[in-house]
Amino acid sequence: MDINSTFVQKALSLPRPRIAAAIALVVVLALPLTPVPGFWITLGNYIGLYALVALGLVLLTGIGGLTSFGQAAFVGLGAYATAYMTTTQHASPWVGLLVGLCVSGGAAALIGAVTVRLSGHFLPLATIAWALSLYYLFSNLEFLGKFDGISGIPPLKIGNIELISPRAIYGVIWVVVAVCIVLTLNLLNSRPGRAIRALAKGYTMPEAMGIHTANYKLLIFVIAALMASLSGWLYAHLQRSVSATPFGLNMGIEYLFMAVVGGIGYVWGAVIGAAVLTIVKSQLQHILPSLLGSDGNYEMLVFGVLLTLLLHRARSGLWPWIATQWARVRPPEPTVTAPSVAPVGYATLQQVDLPPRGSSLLEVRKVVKRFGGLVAVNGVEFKVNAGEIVGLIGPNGAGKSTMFNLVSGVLPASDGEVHFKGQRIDQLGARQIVSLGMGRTFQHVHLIATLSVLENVAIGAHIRGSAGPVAAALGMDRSEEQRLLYLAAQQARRVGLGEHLNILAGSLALGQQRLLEIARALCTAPALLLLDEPAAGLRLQEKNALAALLRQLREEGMSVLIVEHDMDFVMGLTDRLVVMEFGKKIVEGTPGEIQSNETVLAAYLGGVE
Amino acid sequence: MLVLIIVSVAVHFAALSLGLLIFGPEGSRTEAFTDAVVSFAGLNISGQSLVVVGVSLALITLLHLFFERTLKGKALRATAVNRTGARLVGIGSHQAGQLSFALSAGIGALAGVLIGPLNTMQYDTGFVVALKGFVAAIIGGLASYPLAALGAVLVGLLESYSSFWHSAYKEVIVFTLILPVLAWRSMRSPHTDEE
Repeated sequence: MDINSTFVQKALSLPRPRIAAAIALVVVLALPLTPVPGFWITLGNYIGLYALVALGLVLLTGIGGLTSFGQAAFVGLGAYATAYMTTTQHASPWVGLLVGLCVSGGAAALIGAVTVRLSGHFLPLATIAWALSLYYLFSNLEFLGKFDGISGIPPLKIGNIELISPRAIYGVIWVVVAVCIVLTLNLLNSRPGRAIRALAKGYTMPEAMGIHTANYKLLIFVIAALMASLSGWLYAHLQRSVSATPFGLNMGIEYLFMAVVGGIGYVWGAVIGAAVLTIVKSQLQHILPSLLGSDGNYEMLVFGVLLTLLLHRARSGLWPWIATQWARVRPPEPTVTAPSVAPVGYATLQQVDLPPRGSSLLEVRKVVKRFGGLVAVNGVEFKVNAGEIVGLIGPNGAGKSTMFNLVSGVLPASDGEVHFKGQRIDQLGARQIVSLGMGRTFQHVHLIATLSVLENVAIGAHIRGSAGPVAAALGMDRSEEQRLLYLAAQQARRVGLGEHLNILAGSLALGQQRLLEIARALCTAPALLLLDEPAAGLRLQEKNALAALLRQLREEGMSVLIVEHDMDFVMGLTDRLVVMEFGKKIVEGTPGEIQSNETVLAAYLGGVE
Repeated sequence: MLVLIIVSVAVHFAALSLGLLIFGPEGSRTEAFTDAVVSFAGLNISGQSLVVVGVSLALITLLHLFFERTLKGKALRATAVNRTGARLVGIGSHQAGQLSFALSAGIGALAGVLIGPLNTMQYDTGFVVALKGFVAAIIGGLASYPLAALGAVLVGLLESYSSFWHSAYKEVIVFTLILPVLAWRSMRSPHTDEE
C-alpha cells in the first residue's frame, strides 16, 4: 500500500469538497444561461446522461466488483418504455418514467438473480450475453418499431413549460445527476455502503460478518439498472425519438470505458470519465480530418491508442490522479469519524447477554470433513464452555483452520454434528452462525485496505444495525450510524488501535491488522470468539497486551477458541488445550498436562523409534 | 483485472479501425481451398467444411501435445496457476503472456482464413464470430479443448436452428440460452475467493 494511495483515499471523501462540489454544481447549472454555443450545451446534456449510467457502473463494478458490459440495455429499457407509453398510450412522460423504472427494476431483478451468482469470467460474459439479447429484442419487436424505432416522443413538461430546446432540459438532467450523486455518496458512507464495499472482498469475509452478499449484489445491480433507466428516460425526451442503436454492446463498452477512465472506484470518476471521453471523442471528430486527411476514419484508432496510453499512466483512473495532486497542496482530513462521547441509545446497543459461566457453549461431535479423497478432519470431538479459553494446537496441516471453518459455517461438514448454545449449526451458513453469537478472525487477514481502521471495524457492527439502503441514501440513518461507529471505536480502543482509527487499514503492520480483525469480530457481540493465529506478527509487548485483553474478555464471560503456534502465548493463557494431528484429536487437557504428554511431544518433535 | 479487459477492448477498437483503413468497408469472399464435394449418408459436405474440421482437430491435438508434453507449454500453464511461483522457478511471466497472446492471435487469424471462403468477411465481422467463439470456450470451462469444440458445435447448432425457426430472433435465442449454460458452468466450478 503506497503512500500515494493513502493520500488519495483521504482526499476523496472529505467534507471540504462538499463546498467545492456545490460551487461546481452552480457553475454547471448556470452554463446554459451564458452565451456558450449550443454545441457545448448539447455536449453537456450527453455528458450528464452518460454520467448517470457511469455512476451506476461505479457502484456496480468499481465498488461492488461485478463487471457489467450491459448497462446500455437498461438505458434502452428506460428509453423504450417511456417512448412506448408517451406515443402509443398517450401517457404523460412522468408515467413513462414510472413504467421505465418498474420495467428496468423488474428486468434487473430477474437478470441479476442469475448473473450475480456467477463468478470469475462468467459474470462479464453473462452481461454481454443478455446485453446482446436485449439489443436484438429491441430491434425486432413489432410494437417497438423494429429497426426504425419510435419517433415523435413528446418533450418533458414542468407545469406548463415544455422543455424542448437542449438548454431547457439541461437543468433537469444535471439536477438529476446531482441528486443521484448525493444519494450514492450517502449510501456508500453508511452501514449498507460498508457491506457493498465488502462485496469485492469475496464471499467468506462478508458472510462471516453477517452480510447477505447475494442480496447486496442484487441491490447494486438493480440500483445501477435504475440509474441507467433514468438516463434512458431523459435521453428519450431529449432526443424525441429512439432506435435500438445506442443501446447495443458498443455503447455498453463505452460506458465502462468512461467509468474506468474517470476512476471506477470513485463516484466523481463517473462524471469526470463521462466528460473526458465525450469531449475527446467530439474533438477528435473535428481535429483529425484536418490533421490526417479526410479519406480515412481515424477516430477509433486514435481513441483506442489514447485510451491505452491513459490507462498505462493512470491505472486507477483520472479522479484518483487529480485527488493525489490536490492532496499535495492540501493534505486531507478523515471523513468518517466516531463521536467522542457515547451517543443516545448506545447503552441498549452495548448490552450483550452472555450465557452463564461454565455452561456448555460449543460442542463438536465427531466431525468429519473430506475433500475428495483427503480426510482433513477425522472424527474430532471437543467442547468449549462459557467463560473459558480453549486452545487448538497441532503441527502444520493438522486441520485446525479447517476445523475453524467447519465450526463457523464457512465449510459444511461431511459428517458429525456441531452444536452451539444447544442448537445444531453444522449445516447453517456463516451468516446465521454469526448472528447466534460466534465471531471469528481469519488466518489470512481479510481487510478492505482502502478504508480506514474505524470503517473496517465497523463492518463487524453490521449485524448490530438495521439501516437499509433507502434510509442510508436519504441520510435518515445518522443516529444509528453514530451508535455503530462509536461501538466500532470502542472495540478498536479495546484492542489497542485507538490511536490509529483514521489510518488506512492497508498501511497497518500485519500484527496490527490482526488486532483490527479481532476488534471487528468483537463488534458482532460474540459469546464465542474464534481466533486464528492472532499473535502471528506481534511483538512481545503486543502479545502481552493481547493476552491481557483475552483474559479480560474471559472475565466478562466470553469464551475464546484460539489456534496458535506460539507455545508461550498459549500455555500461559488457555484453560484447556486440544491437540490435533493429521485431522484427529490426539490429546486434550490442561497446559500442564499437555506439556509433559509423550504423544504431543512426538507429534511436534518426532518420536524415537 | 478489469483494467486488462478495458485495455484489450481499447486495443480492439484501434485494431478494428486499422482494419477499416487498410481493407476498406466492403466485404469480400475468398476462394475455397478445394471445390470437391463429398457425399456421406445423404448429406453433401463441401471440401471446405472438411478442411475446417480437419484443421480444428489438428489444432486441438497440437495444442494438447504442446501444453501437456513440452516444457514451454507446461511453463505457460504454471504461470496461469500461480504467477509468482512460476517467476520464482525462472519462468518469465511477461514472456509467457506474450506467447499465449501470440498463439491465440495466430489461431484467430487461421480461423479467419478458414472462414473466408464460407462467409463474406468485412473488417468488423471478426467481433461477432469471436464473441460466439468466446461463448463456446466458456462452455468448455476455459480449460478443455474438446469441450470448447463441443461448445462451439452447440452454439452453431443453436444458431442454425433458431435462424430456421425464428430468423429475426436468432441472436436473441442464442444469447439468452447462453445464460443457463453459464449458470450451470459457474455452479460446477467451485467458488473460491481470490486470495
